[in-house]
Amino acid sequence: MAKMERIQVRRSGRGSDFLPLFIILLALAGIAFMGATFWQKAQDASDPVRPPSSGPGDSLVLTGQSSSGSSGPQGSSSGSASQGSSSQGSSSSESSPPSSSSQPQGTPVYGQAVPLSGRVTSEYFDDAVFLGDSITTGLELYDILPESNIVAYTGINLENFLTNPCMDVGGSKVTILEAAKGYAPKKIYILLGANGLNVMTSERTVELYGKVVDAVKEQFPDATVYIQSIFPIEESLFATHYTGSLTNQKVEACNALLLKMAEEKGVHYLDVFSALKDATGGLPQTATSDGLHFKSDYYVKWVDYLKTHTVSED
Amino acid sequence: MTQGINRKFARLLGAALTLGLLFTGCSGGEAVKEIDLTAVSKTMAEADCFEGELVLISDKVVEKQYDLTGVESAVVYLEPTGGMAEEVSLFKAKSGEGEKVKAMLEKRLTEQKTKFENYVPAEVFKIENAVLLEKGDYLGLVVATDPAAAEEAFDKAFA
Repeated sequence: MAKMERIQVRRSGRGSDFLPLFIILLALAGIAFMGATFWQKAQDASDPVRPPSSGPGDSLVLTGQSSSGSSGPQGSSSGSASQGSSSQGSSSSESSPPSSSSQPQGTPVYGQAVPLSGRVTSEYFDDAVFLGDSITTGLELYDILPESNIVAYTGINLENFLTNPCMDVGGSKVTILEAAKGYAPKKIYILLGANGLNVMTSERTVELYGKVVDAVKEQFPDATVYIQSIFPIEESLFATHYTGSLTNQKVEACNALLLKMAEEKGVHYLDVFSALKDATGGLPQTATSDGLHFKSDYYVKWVDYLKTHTVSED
Repeated sequence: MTQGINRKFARLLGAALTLGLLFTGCSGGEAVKEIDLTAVSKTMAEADCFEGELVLISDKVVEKQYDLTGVESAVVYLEPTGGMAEEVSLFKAKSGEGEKVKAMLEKRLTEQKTKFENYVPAEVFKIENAVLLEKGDYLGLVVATDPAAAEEAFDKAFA
């Protein structure tokens, strides 16, 4: 009996030896955990390039792939992003190392053309819709982009874009914008202005364009809106095929006003004009049969430009 | 009595003949040989009567641009730059749906004319000059300044 008591006491004594050590270890672990949590939060708050964990920007993160040596986000004010590597379509938040850029990712910059960015794949346009005239219809006719991305009509212009019920939807005639409702796009590319600039002033063209942009933004408030510059023309062929007069100089002057309008309206401006013009400042004669509409190789150039000029988030 | 029976017989015969004629019309009329729509339309699109270069249009775009309710199969070539109305479209109508397809093609011409007359008026001439083709259940449309060569290719396919 006495032996038993001694044994019990001895056992009790051993337990009390380890208990303080266990408590100290537990306390240290707790402190370490709290410290790590605090440090993590501090890092999150100070790291502008960390993408949000959720939200509408996620789809646009696809475009954020930066090339080596350039960590700036696409379309950010850094303007330093160079053409991306071939790792197309992957999410920068998943595959890229943390950026050392001081530019916040996803900050839209208005008032300047969208700068060169990492190349995206065609899938980037899956949730995009292209609104426009005959030039835009060529995207589907040449099979450059799927027909499901195109809402365009040959001959539409800035004066009747919002009123002409030219699209056949379910047996009813509706306007292009009404037809676009069914698409619920996250990105909208607008190309208008070429039809009419030959008979209108640049100021009137931009005024009407502004109304179109307002209507598009009202209908799709959450979409990223791009307006594309009016494309270059081949002046001599244009003069023989169309009425009025149009020169590349006038197109450029109008594009400058479009850029300003884009800034005022808070939409992105794509300088496709510069990408398509040749050394003479216009469209080469070999690229077009009427001075305005161009052949497939220029469609490829155009879409290539779009793929390398994207913004990540509005 | 005999005269009454004869009259009745004559009326029935008349009705049967009328119905027979009606059904013949509905079935697409003349019996023609089967053609390879893809090959024939390609030959037509390559005929020497187009100013632009016509390209084969994807099925999905064809579905988007044409009402295909009466159509069994379709092949369409268009001048894709957007500045020309040139076209070769060839359709095989579902049995008895030839008239519907013909109406669809006529509607297409009207819409194309509306589209181009305020845009590229020079193209309206081609639309006004278009030919509607029909051989049995095969119907087609050629829009060109002078569509004769493409029309000839269509006719040759049935020879």
